[in-house]
Amino acid sequence: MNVKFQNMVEQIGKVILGKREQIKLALTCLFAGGHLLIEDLPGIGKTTLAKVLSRCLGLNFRRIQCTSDMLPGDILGVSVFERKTSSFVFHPGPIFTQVLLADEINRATPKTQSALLEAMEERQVTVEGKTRPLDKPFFIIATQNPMEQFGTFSLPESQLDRFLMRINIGYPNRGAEHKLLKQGEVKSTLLSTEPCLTPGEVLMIQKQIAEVHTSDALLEYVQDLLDFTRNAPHFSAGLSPRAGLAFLRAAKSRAFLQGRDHVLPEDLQKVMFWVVGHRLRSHDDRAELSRDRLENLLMEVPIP
Amino acid sequence: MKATDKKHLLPILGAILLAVSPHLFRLPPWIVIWCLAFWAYVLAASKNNWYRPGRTILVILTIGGFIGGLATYGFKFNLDTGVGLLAVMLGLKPFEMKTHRDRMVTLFLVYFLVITNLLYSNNLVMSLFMFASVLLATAVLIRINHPSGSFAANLRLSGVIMVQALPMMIVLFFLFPRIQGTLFGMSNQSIAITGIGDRLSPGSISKLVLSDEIAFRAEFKNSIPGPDRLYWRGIVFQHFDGKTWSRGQTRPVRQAPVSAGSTVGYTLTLEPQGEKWLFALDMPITSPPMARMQNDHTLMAYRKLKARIRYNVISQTTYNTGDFKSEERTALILPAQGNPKSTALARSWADTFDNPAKIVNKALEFFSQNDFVYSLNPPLLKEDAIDDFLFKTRKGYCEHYASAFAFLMRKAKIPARIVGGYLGGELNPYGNYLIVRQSDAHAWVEVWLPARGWVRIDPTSAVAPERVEQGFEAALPPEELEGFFLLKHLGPLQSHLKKIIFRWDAANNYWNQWVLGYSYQRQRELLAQIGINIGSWKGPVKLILLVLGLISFFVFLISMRLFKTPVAKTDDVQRCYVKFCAKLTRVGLTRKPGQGPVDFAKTAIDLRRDLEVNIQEITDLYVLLRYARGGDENALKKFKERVKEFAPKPTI
Repeated sequence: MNVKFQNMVEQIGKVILGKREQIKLALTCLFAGGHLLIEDLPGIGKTTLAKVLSRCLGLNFRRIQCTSDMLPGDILGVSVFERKTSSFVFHPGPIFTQVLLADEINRATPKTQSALLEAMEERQVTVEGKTRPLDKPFFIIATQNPMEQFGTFSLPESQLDRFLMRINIGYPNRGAEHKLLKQGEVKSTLLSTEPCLTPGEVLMIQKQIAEVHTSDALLEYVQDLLDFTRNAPHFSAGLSPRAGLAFLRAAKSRAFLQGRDHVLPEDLQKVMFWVVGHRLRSHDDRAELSRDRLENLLMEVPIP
Repeated sequence: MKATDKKHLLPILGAILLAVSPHLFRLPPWIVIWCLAFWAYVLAASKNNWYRPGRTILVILTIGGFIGGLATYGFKFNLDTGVGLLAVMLGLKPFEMKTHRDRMVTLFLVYFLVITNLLYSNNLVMSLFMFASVLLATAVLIRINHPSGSFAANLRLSGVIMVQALPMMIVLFFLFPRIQGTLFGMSNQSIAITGIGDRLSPGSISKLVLSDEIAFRAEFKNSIPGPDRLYWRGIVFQHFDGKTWSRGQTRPVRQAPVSAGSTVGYTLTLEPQGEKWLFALDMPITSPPMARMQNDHTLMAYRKLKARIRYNVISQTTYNTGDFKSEERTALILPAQGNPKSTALARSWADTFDNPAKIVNKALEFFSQNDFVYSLNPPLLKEDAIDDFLFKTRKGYCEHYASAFAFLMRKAKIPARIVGGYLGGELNPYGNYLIVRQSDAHAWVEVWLPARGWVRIDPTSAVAPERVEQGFEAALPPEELEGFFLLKHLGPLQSHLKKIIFRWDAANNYWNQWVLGYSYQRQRELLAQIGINIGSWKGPVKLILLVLGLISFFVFLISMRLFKTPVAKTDDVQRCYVKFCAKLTRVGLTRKPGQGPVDFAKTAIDLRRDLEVNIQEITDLYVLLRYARGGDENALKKFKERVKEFAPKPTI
């Protein structure tokens, strides 16, 4: 594994106890330049993970708590008339940052959610006719609570598609929880986390990841997987080309973090569920497929 | 009620309905209503959470339905009763479909139901229908066990399974021992169609004209004789009681006393009519093995025909039956009383002419010169039927003319008899055979003339010559044909439809010949050809071994395909890697098709520490060549060598 990366996982692992797999996935996602959706119950450590990630990457961090009365302006920013200069001055919203944590994103109205859309895809925002680029790098880490559906606006598939990965954290195991209970509040450990990278380094790694080699044989495997989701009867709709690109990007990122300069089929398989899980629906009841089922299905596709 | 119950109910009901649908026309109406009502209720109940009857009510319904079913069939236990009771049970079955096991049992019942259709009919349509039914039942079976994917995918898989079963079906078809006689020894009247009966009275032929059913098909070895010679002889009527003609006593003869003439050979496929007579062109000179030739030149089977038969006959179209025999004197007997006018007419001819041939011509002239009409709807004839017809109504179908003509001849002291059979037939260009339908039924007269023997005279041809040349449609007045469905009403579509009908008939003909016609006898012959004599004790053993051998061969072929790892690309690197995997498979380390090389190496090394170095090296080279940059010729060479050297030994 890449030494720097190993170091980061160690650092974050001190705060988020016993969740190395999730930490690696989150880093994979962010280094691939993708947005991350964390779906889990309240209190499991979603926000902490987001915070510690941004801290560790040495990036600016802002947080918005989504509510149903939140307006796009609350996120993007508004122009305010200033008497001194007798002109409108743009007051940038919380989105002008490097890591934005959108907590409980499914509580925001579709109008506000769609304001985030442009920012996520284009990495720029348009307010009052003026387009403003966002910082680089720019990540959105959104969280949502899958259990509580009252008064929420669940994200439509088109919006889910914009998140490179969706992960869940899950309860800590007994040992980790024991340690957590012993050390008490996580705040202090969070604050003591030293940045491992600078924004420049993050951009650098992203660039290197883009150059990870993908052989023709591997691309064919990706295509076989995509074809499978499109033709097999188990899914209501297959993966889009955008999903295909995201899939490959995530695999490249994983390969890089593993210290390789080429992608293996295993890379695809390891990130598979987290990249495609929220993009596929079962044909029967349009529900999402479980991890076991999805992985079993996709493992049927022979590696060319 | 669980969601799975609801989900599977509709497909299972669909499979039942399709399987039972041919029976619905045979079952008593109350059983049909019983089934459909219960199924509709089950379906609605599952949607709306209505009341579902408990065990007690079901038991009461079952017993009630059972008794009701038995009572409907008069407490006789035969095939119909069995199917009826099965339907009664099936009506209730969906009520107790609660567990997976119930659903499986119901589906197996559906398969059984599909087979019961075979007890009634085994024609081509039924066979295609049964294939469709099995296809659906299998798809539902797949669905209730693997409830994922679309139903179209289930159907596709079901189709694939059926195609895989095809070789085994063919093996069993040819080699599974055939039963002599009908299945379960059940006689089945319902498959016989109504043909020419053993009595001839006004109306007995014309009622057949309405039937489009096929009487038989005839394939000629050489060219087909002209329409004026296509008189298919079936039965000879000797006795006349003033109204009705009936068969006389006949006796079997060894060889038909027919003088030499041109012969014509053909093969007839006769549909079962439930009677004994076989049909053959005037005059048959050979007799098929299941029949004997009678002294009136008809072929009589040993027992009534309840199944389709195929036989070869040779006929002479020009013939001389030779001398008048004493037993043929019945051809002169008439009732003493009645029909005075006709009697007088015939007597006058007999007095005028001394030559019987001239009397025959005079009689034919009488028909052609007076205003006789060929008609399907003749007026009812009164007491003296012949007088009434000849002098008053003058409208009739072939049986009227034959009857009157034979009467006149007998009164004029010329031996005469009526022959019942078919005239003509339709040529099917696809298969080159004649289709003879019930509507081609015909009756004509034979008179005995000195030096010529029995001579065929068709009085109908004197009235309506078109009947012989072009069939009954051309001979009848147009207003009588209005009620018929005739192809010529369709205008330009006619020729296309005709083609389809002919093709369909040809398909049926092949089906009858090659599938249904594959009898015990034919199987014996086939087995004898491959050296299996079913009669000896060795024969059955050889047969069983052959069947088992062939079936396991097909199973082997199919399983080979199942276990074969699909190889999409076969470039050098991949081919070599596949070889490496095959070597590992031999020692029990199998790569799943979706397993990546590194993962596979890891699992393999975990199991076989001793092979670690080799596996790791080969895998690294493979990854380098296939997925990484910088794989060159040297690496490839090395990779090939390593794979070649790699020889894992199985663990003990």
